[in-house]
Amino acid sequence: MILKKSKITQGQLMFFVIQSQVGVGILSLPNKLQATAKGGAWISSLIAGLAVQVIILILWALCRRFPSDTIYSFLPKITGNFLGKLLGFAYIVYFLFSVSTILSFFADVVGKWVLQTTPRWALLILTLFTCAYLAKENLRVIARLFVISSFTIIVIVILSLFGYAHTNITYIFPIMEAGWGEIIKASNAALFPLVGYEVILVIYPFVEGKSIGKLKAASLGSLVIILLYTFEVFTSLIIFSPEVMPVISEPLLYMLKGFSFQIIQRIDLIFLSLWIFIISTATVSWLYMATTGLGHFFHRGEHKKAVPYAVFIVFILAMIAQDPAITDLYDRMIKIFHYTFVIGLPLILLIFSYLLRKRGA
Amino acid sequence: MMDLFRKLFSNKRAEKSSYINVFPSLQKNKEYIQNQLFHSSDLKWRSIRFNQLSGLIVFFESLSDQQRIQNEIIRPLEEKKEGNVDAIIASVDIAKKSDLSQLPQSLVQGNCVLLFEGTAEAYIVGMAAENKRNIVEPENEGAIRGAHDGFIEHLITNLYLVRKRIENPSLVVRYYQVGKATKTKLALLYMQNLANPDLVEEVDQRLGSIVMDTTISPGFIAEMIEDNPSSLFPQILFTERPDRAVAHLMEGRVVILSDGDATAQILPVTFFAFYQSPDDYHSRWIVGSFIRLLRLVSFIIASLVPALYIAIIGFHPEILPVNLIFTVKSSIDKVPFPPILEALLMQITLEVLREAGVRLPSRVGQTIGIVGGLVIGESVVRAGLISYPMVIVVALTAISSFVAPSNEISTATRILGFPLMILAAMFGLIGIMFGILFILIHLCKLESFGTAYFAPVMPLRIKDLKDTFTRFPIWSLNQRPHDPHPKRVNQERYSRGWVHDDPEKE
Repeated sequence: MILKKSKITQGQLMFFVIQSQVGVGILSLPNKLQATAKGGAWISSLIAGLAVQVIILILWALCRRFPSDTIYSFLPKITGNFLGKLLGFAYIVYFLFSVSTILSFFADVVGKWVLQTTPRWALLILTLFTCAYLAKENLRVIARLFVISSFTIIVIVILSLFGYAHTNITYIFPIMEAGWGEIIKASNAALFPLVGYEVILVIYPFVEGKSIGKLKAASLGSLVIILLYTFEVFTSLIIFSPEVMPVISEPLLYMLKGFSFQIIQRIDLIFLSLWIFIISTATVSWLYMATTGLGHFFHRGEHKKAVPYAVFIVFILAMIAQDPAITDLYDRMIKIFHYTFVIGLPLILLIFSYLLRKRGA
Repeated sequence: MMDLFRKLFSNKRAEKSSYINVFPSLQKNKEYIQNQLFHSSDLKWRSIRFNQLSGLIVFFESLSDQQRIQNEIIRPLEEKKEGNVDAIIASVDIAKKSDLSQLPQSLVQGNCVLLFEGTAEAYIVGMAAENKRNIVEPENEGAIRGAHDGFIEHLITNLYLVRKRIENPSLVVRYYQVGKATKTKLALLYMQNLANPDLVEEVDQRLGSIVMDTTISPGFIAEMIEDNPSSLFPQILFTERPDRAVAHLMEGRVVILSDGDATAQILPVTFFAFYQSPDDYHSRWIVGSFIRLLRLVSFIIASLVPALYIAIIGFHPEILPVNLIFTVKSSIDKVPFPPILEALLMQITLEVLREAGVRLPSRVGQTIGIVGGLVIGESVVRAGLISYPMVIVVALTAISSFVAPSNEISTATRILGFPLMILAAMFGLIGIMFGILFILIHLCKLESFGTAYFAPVMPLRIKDLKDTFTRFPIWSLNQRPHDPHPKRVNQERYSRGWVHDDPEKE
């Protein structure tokens, strides 16, 4: 049923999870967390990471029961045909919505930092065109590129290490200034930048090997990302004083803008250029999830055919989200979607499938 | 669809009606052959008597070796007068045919046909003349050290060059005939114990399925069999160096040689094979690694530098230090064109110069040097049309692109620069990054004969990286590259036997 050509290895699964998870959040996360958790912001991101691991466990337990089905094909098996298809569509909407949120944020940041006069549509078309070129390929090709583009993460870490020349560790004290309650509240906010691990709902059946290995790979991938995020939050916290933090929305970029090498004066531009790789891979990952669903429902499993119009929908959605009010609306919707589709629903489905003893062949 | 049917049908009919028995009458046979070959003027015949029968020797004077016909056919037959023809003719290649319709074809292949009165059979004796040039070092693929021989236009000689280097019964040669009209001979070479059988079968099938009239350059065959003919990147490595072909054979790849062409085609290859040169293995490994890295860097320079220049000048001059900006800007301010136009003008001029340089005879070639160097380089800046930095950028691009040991990839690199330049002019650094991403995706997608084109980077295989960006010492390369999926990956464990065998060294 699943072609050998579209199988990927567990190592590739790890990079798939990594690339789906790192996205736009990395830029604004320190600012958001610091607003509630103060000096303990880095603890919040660790706690969020812990929560993510638990969610991954739930998703994995669900997928494990249907080892040769994607979410779109096992949903009807649990809930019945009609409801299952409806939920499948809801997932597609969620995925498409996520892509457009990522892209509209990306367009905002690039418009603010690099290309002030370039029209938004031009930038979006360029991004979507490139992403669609990859998203229409089979999983193996996508995974190959994801493995290579993960090297940008190393470069990003190295670039931020330069920031340690101007740190002041006292900025994070007192760590418990906000108290545990606030820290946990902040970790709730940190869950959203970490989304992307739900990719295992779709690609689980395409991964070779035993299910326990898949869990390990997915967890390891998300662990890498959590450590990266925590590192970046921590770095931002000790570089910028608590008074400055609330005013700067993208601390990482400000930090990089501050220092320079002999021949390259604007490190932030280099960072943003590398960041394009990360954004594009995340976009491709989400697009792939959505188009796999569309392909499953409309094109007999050929996700390639769904790519053009999926991209068009994303383009329209991202174009609408120019107004801050609409962006806010998007944000809130994404939060609700996320709770329902990534945490709530899988948990319910899991319980149901246990109770009804439903499992795939 | 109808056409296809008609073709199939007509093919079958033609085959059926084509068989004609050799006539007992000599005159009739002669007439038939003459008619079939349209009374071509270089068709010669000579009558002979043997076993009391009158006979006829027919051959093309342009294709057959007349000296040999005289020594190996005419003289023995005249001397013996009687006996068995097979035993008397002193030639390696002799066959009996009773199908008259096949004779014209064997005549144009340089064979000599022997007919006798009253006999319904013809002897075909291989008497092809061999006019070939000497084995010389290929001009466009020179190496400093190592072998200095190169393939020539004669298939058998080329096979000799390969066989001489691999004296192993596992080396297999398979002949093919491609081109309905030209009947070009191809040879497929592979190591039976190394090459992946699926690969060999796939190549065999694709070569067998080629349908066309004329096959001239190896580019014809390459285009017929490669997976992605519309990609900018070459997927089959062309070489005129036997040592290069042999090295790839021993990695489990397949080589295609064609008669009448000095180029060997190696497949499947990865992108990095185009940046490897036999020279890397003749110098010390540190030197070899350095030079190979240099070549790969030059690929990046050749495709990226003009775009980067345009992006930085047009969008983000602040990325450069202030002093540098002033220097560059002072030169640019006098130029009336935007950087993209400047770059395009200069790049196209460069391409024109290069092409002119290839076509011109070497005696006139110097003129190109003067026109290119002085007029375009110096005057264009003096006249204020192009800025100095742009001339430097374009010159750097050109030189870097010529570093590649394969002409195909060098041209591809320069063409790759154009879309990147346009993206840079539209979106600055962001545009370039998307361009790079697009190229990477494309490279990642490409597969030729089941091998990923950008292996071992995508998919990543760390062990194979040893001989990709760098060249590790040869004794540390104990495994063959994984990309052609060879039958045996391991080559040997300890190449430097003395290091492990010598217990007294402890």
